[in-house]
Amino acid sequence: MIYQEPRLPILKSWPNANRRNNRMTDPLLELRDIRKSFGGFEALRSASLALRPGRVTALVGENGAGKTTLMRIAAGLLAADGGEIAADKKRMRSWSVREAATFGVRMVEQHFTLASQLSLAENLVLHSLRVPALISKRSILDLATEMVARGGLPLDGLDRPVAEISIAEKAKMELIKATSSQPRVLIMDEPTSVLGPRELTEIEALLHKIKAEGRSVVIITHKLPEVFRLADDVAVMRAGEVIFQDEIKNVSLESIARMMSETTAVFRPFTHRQPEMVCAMKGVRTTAGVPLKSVNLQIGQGEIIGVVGAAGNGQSELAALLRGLLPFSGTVTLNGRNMTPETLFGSRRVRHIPADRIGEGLFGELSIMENLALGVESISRSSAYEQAVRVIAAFSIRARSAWQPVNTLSGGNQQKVLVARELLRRPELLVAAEPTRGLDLESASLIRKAVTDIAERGTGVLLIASDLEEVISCADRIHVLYRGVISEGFAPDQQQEIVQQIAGGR
Amino acid sequence: MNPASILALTLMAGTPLLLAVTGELMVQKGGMINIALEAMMLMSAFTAALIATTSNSVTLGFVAGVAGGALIALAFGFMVITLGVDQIVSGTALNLLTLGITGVAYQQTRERFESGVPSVKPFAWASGIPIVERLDSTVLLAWVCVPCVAGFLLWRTRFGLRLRACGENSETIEHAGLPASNYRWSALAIEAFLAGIAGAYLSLSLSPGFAENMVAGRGFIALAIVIFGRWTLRGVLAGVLLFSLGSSIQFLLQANHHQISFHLFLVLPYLLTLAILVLSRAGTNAPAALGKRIA
Amino acid sequence: MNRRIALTVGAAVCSLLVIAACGVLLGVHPATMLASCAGAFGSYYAVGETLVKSCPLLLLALAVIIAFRAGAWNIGGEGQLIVGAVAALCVAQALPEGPLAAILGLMAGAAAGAIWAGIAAALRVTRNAPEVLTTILLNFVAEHFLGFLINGPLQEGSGKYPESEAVAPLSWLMTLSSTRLHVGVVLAVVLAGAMHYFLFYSAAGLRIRAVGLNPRAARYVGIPVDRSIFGAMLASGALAGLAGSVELLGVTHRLFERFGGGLGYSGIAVALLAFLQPLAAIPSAIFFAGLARAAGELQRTAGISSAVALLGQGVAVLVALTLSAPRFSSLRVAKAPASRPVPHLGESS
Repeated sequence: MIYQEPRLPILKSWPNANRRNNRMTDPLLELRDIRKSFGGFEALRSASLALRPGRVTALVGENGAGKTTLMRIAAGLLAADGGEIAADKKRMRSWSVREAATFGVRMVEQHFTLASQLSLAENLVLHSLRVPALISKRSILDLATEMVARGGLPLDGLDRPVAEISIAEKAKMELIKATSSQPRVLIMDEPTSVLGPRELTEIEALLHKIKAEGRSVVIITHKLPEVFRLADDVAVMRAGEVIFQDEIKNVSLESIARMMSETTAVFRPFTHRQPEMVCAMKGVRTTAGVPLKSVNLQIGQGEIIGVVGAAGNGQSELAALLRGLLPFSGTVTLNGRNMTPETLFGSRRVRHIPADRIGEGLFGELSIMENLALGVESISRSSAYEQAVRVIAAFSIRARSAWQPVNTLSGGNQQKVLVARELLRRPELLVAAEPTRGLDLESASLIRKAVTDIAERGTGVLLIASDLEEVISCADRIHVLYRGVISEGFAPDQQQEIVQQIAGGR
Repeated sequence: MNPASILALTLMAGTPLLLAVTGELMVQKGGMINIALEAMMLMSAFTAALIATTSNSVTLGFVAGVAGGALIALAFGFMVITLGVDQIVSGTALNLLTLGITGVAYQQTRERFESGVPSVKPFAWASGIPIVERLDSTVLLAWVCVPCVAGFLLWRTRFGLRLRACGENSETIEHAGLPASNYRWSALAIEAFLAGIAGAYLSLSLSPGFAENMVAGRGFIALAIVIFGRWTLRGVLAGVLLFSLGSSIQFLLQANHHQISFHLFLVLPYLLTLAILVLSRAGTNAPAALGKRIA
Repeated sequence: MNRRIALTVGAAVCSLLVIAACGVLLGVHPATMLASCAGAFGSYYAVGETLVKSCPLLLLALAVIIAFRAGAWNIGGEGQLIVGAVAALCVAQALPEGPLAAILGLMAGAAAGAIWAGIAAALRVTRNAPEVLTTILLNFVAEHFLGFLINGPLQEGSGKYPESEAVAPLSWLMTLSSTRLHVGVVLAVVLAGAMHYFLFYSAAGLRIRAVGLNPRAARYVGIPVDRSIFGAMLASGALAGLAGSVELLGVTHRLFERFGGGLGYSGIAVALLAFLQPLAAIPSAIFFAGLARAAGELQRTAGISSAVALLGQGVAVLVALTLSAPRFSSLRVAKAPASRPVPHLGESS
């Protein structure tokens, strides 16, 4: 990951981890020495964090550092194994969802918890304690409208079913659900991963309002520029501990990056001239889900073509289409041959790294060996084992044996298995959707290297991602996907234009 | 074969089905598929018949029927809600178990049934009125009260809203600080009550007495109708009506055409249900968390 | 693996205990109950009979295993078995008697079973009709169809009994000298081995399991999910149909009312107790067959319904499911005394 030039003044010295600012007001919520283990894995060993009123705290750290776990405990969604929680300086005997909610802690989680066949209004009032025992469409709608107003984020069409709204609107729904009760502590887990710049501005305004009211906010993120844009305080987690907490004005972006991890990988892009065409899409349209309207893309041998944009603008449809899972009109050619959904599905030389690692990529109950064996046409059990041993070594996958079920691996190692499987036989076309999302830097750089290596050996790569930096650092040419429309291609250095396109500007 | 008798037959044959279908609709709206519905009805048909003959009271029979249904519901809920075992596997196992239990118990108590089982009396005040004179209060309860109450409960109360949310995504409920399992248990309790009445109606009114496996797949047919009705009250009502109309016509045809093997007539309800499933293009509109365990 | 064997044995023992308890409650002398066990395993002949009984159970369990592993709920073993038996009878009677008639009869049975399951599979794939319901409904259809046949077109010559004419003895399956143990038993065991090899050692078997575990991911790896499910259902139906034809050509030799007798449902119990492992299904089938034999003996000697065998199956499966349930261990923790209270919050440190 390349870090942008920080926009804030940088402190040259290393900040002192022990220097806590005592001049400030008492914390609203304080977590002290929280411990939590899952099975044998120690997710939190002794994590402490203080949240002060009127401040936005950015909680940063590599994936697996324990940020989400700590915050789920703060919100009462998870019981800690040990440690203590103090709310308003009062030590709490127990801390369940109910108690946390009563005190006013709300967490917006990364995945959506919405009931898709219920309307937006119904979903909103589910969380309200003020729903009467007998309801009507009218009363629900009124209550929901009032909640939206209190939440501070605009949203209309409350009678639509959730199934019909876009992913950005869903993310907004989650925020409104949390903010409408005017929580004293609002926790947001990677809020910007699916939101567009427009929503980001709305959130910024919301944060100002919340701060002015003396409430507290935590933003879990791994995007450092965002930290400097939104937060007042920053807390860094590493290996289950909060190793640093201070005001943002006292620290520099580099120092935080160094604290998060010792290894910082920076990827160098490369360019190709006049490659042989692998895949071309011309005037391709689909109707299901977020309809794709006229997709024109060309992927050459050894090229990495980036498709960037906020999630929910047709990314999953684009990937599904190239897997042959969606009917389409227009032409898709692979090595000059015209393809139909059937021939695309049957093509073994097109490989996919799906965005949803567990849902669409891997078979959790199956072993590493079996997951890898599924990547090739036919393989004997002994050669499948040898293959697995080779992959485990090559990708430095942390596993006890080749027979270990993949659902017992950590996220980074799971993703390595997935990527390795898709690259076992060099594909002609690789469709990689969010290949490094949510991964620690080390796994992410390893996977990025694997993808660029395969491109250097002649594979055409379609890289679909929502993280602009990721795409800029890898791709030879970049398209923006916005509401089912693919823009013309940009060079990686045309960042200004790309950002404009992502926001929907023409 | 006059229309009045067809209508009366339709209402009567449809009663246990309608009760079972409504119960299953509640449970499925909450996110569970209960194929042990068959077992619930079988168990309650047996307990109802047994207690009714022993105590010579139809009322006690119905109470026992509900208790029998509740027993199976308890087992199903423990497996599925408490332990998180797969719903279809649990249901299948319970169907087997109930066939066994009722089989053994019936063998042991067979002589009690020989003197006949007391059965529900049709409306006394209605004698002479065509159709109505053949019905009893269970029929009225099933066709009037149950759909109204179920519809109200599901779509006009906070309980219904939360139950439906459970069926879509149980986390929505859990995150609001409400245990989703409570809502699923409540739906199961309602189903147990309705299936219990349905089973009791089978053995105390529709065909008084007990026979091994006397439910004969009505539970499975009820499941198919819920799918056919696309999880809406109107849809399932139409499904029950269509189905019981078909089977009562089959019954009358069978009575009038002795030359055709009755086996061919018996097959008709199942073929009709298959046809219903084929026509309904199942799956669309299904609760999103149907069949999934609570996270 | 060892844990699973312990679970299976534990569940089997539980079911025996429950049956024993039932017997005691109903006033059966324990000696009578023990004697009934001798009816299952007490003599050379009894063991032979038990193995004969376990043969269709094993085949039906294999049918369930392949379908469930592929994520297809084939509850229709009963119907597929009946249809298979009908086809075997028709073919065996149509051909000149001899081993060829037996072999073609078996094949016809398998084909008929596959077609019967294929109906449900086709409805699932094209119309999205849940196979768990369609297969059950097809069971009822097959049962009544059988009733029609043996009271009509296939009824024995005198027209007195609701059963078919017997298959000519030369077309029967070969048996082992003094028992009714026929070659079908060998066939079933061989098929169990083959199924184990297929599921756990072949790429095709791996793909079938992958489809059952995560159909969405299977699509992204390029496995044709619908076709795999269809194939698994056909194989499943063929195995169940084979069970029917083996039973007909090896044991009953004729069709009669209640030919299935709930075997199809028992096959599910056998497969579940074996945790869907083909090799484990062999002892599981023998256990349930012995249970059924003992229950039959108990019915003769003590007048307890042989449905007690069904009760035993139900208990065994429920216990096995409970012990292996995802939340079973957490249940134990929750019930444990508060020596280690779950949230430690508030403790002074």
